[in-house]
Amino acid sequence: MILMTLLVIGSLQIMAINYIRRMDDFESSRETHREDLEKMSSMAQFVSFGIADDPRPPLLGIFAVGLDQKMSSSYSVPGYNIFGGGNTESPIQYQQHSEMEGMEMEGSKYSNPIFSLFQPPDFVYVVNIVLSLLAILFAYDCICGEKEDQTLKLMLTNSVPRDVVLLGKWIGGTLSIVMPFILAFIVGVALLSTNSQLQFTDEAWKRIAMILFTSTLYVMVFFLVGMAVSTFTERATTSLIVSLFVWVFLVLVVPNIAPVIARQIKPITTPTQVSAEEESGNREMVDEYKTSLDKATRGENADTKGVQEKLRKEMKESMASMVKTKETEWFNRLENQTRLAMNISRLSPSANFIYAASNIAGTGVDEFFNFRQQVPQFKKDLQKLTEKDTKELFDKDPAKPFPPNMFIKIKTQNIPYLEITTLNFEKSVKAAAMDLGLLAAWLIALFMASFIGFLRYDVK
Amino acid sequence: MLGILIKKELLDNFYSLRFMISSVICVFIILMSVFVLRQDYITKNEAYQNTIVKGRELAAESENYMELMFMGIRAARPPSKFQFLYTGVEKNPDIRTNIRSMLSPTFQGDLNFNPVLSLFPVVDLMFVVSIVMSLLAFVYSYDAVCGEREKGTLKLLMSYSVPRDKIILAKWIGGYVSLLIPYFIGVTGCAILIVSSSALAYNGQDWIIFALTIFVSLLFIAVMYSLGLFVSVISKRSNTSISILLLIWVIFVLIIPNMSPFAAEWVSSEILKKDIPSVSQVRAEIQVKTGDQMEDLIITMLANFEKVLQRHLPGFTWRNFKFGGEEREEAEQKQQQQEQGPGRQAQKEMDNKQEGTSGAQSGGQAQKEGSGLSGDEKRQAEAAGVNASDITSIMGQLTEQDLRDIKTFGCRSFLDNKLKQLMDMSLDDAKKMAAQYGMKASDIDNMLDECEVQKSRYLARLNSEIQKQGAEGGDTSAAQTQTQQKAAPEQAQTDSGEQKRYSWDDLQKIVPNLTDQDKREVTRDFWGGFVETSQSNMRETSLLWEDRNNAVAQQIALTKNIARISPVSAFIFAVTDLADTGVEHDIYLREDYLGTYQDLLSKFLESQLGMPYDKMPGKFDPFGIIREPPKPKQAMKEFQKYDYTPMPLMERLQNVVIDMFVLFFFMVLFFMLAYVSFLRAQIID
Repeated sequence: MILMTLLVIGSLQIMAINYIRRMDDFESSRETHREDLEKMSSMAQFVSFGIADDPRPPLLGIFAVGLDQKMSSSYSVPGYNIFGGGNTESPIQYQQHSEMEGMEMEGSKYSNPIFSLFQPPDFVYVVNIVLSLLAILFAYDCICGEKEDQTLKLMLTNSVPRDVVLLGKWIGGTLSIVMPFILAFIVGVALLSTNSQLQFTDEAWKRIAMILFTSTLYVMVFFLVGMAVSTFTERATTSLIVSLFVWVFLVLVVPNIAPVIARQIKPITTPTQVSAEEESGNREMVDEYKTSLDKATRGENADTKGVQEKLRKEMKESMASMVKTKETEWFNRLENQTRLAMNISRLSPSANFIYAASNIAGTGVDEFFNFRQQVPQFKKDLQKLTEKDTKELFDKDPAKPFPPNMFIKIKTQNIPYLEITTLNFEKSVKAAAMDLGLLAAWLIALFMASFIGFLRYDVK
Repeated sequence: MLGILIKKELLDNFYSLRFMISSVICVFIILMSVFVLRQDYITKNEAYQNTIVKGRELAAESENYMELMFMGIRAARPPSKFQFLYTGVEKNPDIRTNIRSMLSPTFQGDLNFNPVLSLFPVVDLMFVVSIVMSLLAFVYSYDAVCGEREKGTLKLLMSYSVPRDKIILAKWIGGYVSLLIPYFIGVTGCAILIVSSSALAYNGQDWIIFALTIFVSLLFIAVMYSLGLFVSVISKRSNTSISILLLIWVIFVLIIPNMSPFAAEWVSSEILKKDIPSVSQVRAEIQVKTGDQMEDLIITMLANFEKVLQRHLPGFTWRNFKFGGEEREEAEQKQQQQEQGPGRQAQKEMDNKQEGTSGAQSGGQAQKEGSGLSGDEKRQAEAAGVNASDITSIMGQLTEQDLRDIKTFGCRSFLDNKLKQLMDMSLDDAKKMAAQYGMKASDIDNMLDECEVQKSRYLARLNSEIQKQGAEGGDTSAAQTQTQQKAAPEQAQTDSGEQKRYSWDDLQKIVPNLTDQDKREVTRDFWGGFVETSQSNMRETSLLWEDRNNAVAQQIALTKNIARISPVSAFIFAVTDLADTGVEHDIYLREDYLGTYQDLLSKFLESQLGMPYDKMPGKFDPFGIIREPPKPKQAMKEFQKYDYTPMPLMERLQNVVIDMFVLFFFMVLFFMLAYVSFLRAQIID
């Protein structure tokens, strides 16, 4: 009990400190990038350096780090991908249209590689591993232990129906673990709310309440796992060992094997291969453009510029559509694979809990897909912003030499930040709904199982 | 005697339910996960090989060497041969990289992956040993002594003339051996899976490493089993024993390792005050340091270009050149002037004539507006007004140093700094304050605008100086007229109607006809300076990277030392470092693998281009960046194929010595504790 309280409060504190550090990091990093921008007086510098920005760390990462480790990074757009009209014959021109490439992620903010060796000890982790284990320890001997102590026989000699006994045990046992847990959580969150560096909005409070609800549901499920095993075993020791194995299987094995199996069932090519394909497609199109330009302008010198513009436009369009088809197809396959992995792992209440909690906290799979869709928007915004400034210049004559562009000034104050619109509360809950439902289903199924087990239980 | 006791222990265990269940589960998990992960590794390895080959192919497609230098060669993080047994840091690492000759390469992340993988730890052989086997070690040992005491069999056993030390030794050996049976079945399965796959091709060193990892695992299991036995000896009842052990297990396996990186980050930032800058911050720092040099270079080159063009187009200057955007810019300016009214325009004109006037004016404006308020507010507003005039007075007294600062740091941060020096207030604060007291934030924007004007004037002056220097040997009279134009840009603008304004069409007619001599002249200063700048850039870059890498390495060492409180982390460090999937391997890849690859590319370019760099201008022409292609297509065949060599065995052993020692120490400690406390234990209650 003390261990649990300490763990819950401690992990919340550690992750809060971590969040404040990330926030500092984020602010100083953003400041550095902006200062950098201020110093760039000309387009030449933009072209060589590009523009970088950081996404804001999620506040509720304190409760569930989830995929934040993979998302938190500086995102920079190289200049040649911003100034769309620039080097028309560049072999990586396709990156301007690409959603997979064209932005650079400068490594994770969690720079210590040991972060990838161990899971982060956030609240979700504590509940997922430690509290589920604790719930099993509370429940493993609740029937067979009493049988060994002979007290069960004694109790049933009174005219108490078996279902009432079981219900009483369930309610009493669940309360005795859930109440201290909720208390520890409230104390931990209260400590967080006294920290002036953390500001929780109303929506954040709603999410926190949802996280508590989900965790409570999960703890109850594992109490029932212990109880169900207990009604099917004769001795407490056997019950403990069997429940421990069930725990290992449900918490550790199923969720971990699922994505690897999904990868085998629905394999996809690597993103590097896709972009390599795009790059060679790019080269082919540029070659084609060059030969047809050659052909068209060889004969009469009537309208070289017009032809060139037309061909260039065609090339751009076909490149955009090539990139789009390739990437949409790939992303669809990736999403299918992800959904399959999730569905396989949903056999385990632990996976249900993690999906639900991380989605509510805004660091889950759905939030990740939302994030991934929005990041390329940053590039598009930058392109749109500078298009006006550079369009005339480049469109007039695409074969223009490089240097004089430097006289064009970029209005740095208009440059957008990388701000991600996170999923709102309703959407997050909707994303978590299925897993919440499954947790409830586990609850009912396990209670039914222990009910049947107990009705048939040999008390003597 | 000992033999009989061990046999008894073994038989005891073999007939128990836990042995059956645990063996089945252990073997099942190991075989299934390793089989699946092996397939996964094979696909990953194929993808890696593909990327390398494709990267070379694409590099060979380059039009010319310059393109190759800028685009670089696509490469990827090589997978480790052991990652399907001990995944370690290879779970979902950043794999893509682009080797360029002039930028320090790093591994880059992307968002194109299956996110479910990152939510859970991977189940592999290491996971089975560190989590499942450690739990099993406790499950086997928790009642080894206290269970027998509860049942009364221990009393019976002791009534025979059996020495206590033999009993405890037999318990240790018997339990340990029965614990190892499922492990060895699983490991044998792994070995069969390795041999049966032709794609893996393990060599002698790999098998030695495989054996070493098994040895480390045995050591670790012994540690956990001894700890369990110790707790079993000292606790009276088996229920107490298992509760204590589970608590220890949670702390050792689930908490200490996971907390360690967070704790280390906290310690190094709060106590040691050492923050690690992020990669992008280092990059930004490098840009700041070298960006200005590059800009100067480009300005120099343009000046040279201008000079050359003047021979063909009399009176040509860039200032006078029609870039194509001017009409729009002028229209925009007009629009702005219309919007903001004539007052602003008048002010601007005054600015142009006399610096500092605008300061007084806007300060006065601020005070005027402040007078509309009453009482307290008024006093505050007055204070703010004074501040505002302070701000504006800054612009009146710009020194040469200030101008240089403006050029290097940009207007915003220059003003920010100035304000901080003067009244400990940032620019944004000043803006906010102005807005709060009903004043126009645009005053401050005006300041910024004026600062920009100053900056461009300063740049123009610098330009003209460069021109002057460049023109000294050439046509002096032309240079003089230019200097005059540069020094007074406003005048040039008004006079532009009289002079001929050249445009792209003129330039296009001239450029193809330039002689080699001309081209060389244009690039002369630029190329030498460019090489120098990139070299100093490389030096600075590598220094900054080294700093950062050292900071990261220190933090890693700290993390490791914190984590080593738990034998589980020591085991994980040892086994992953041996298997080339550990933290040291990660560092090795970042520093050695990428570095060697980059060196190779640089050397290749050097040999192909006939370095040193100063010979290059003859080969390149500056228009459209080097159209004269020494095609690298055939040349790329000579580019030595770079095969990744894994870290040598001895180096790996050096890395894991401490961890093995820690494990050994824990084993001896726990065994001795169990041994001694059993010798002293009270058997009869």
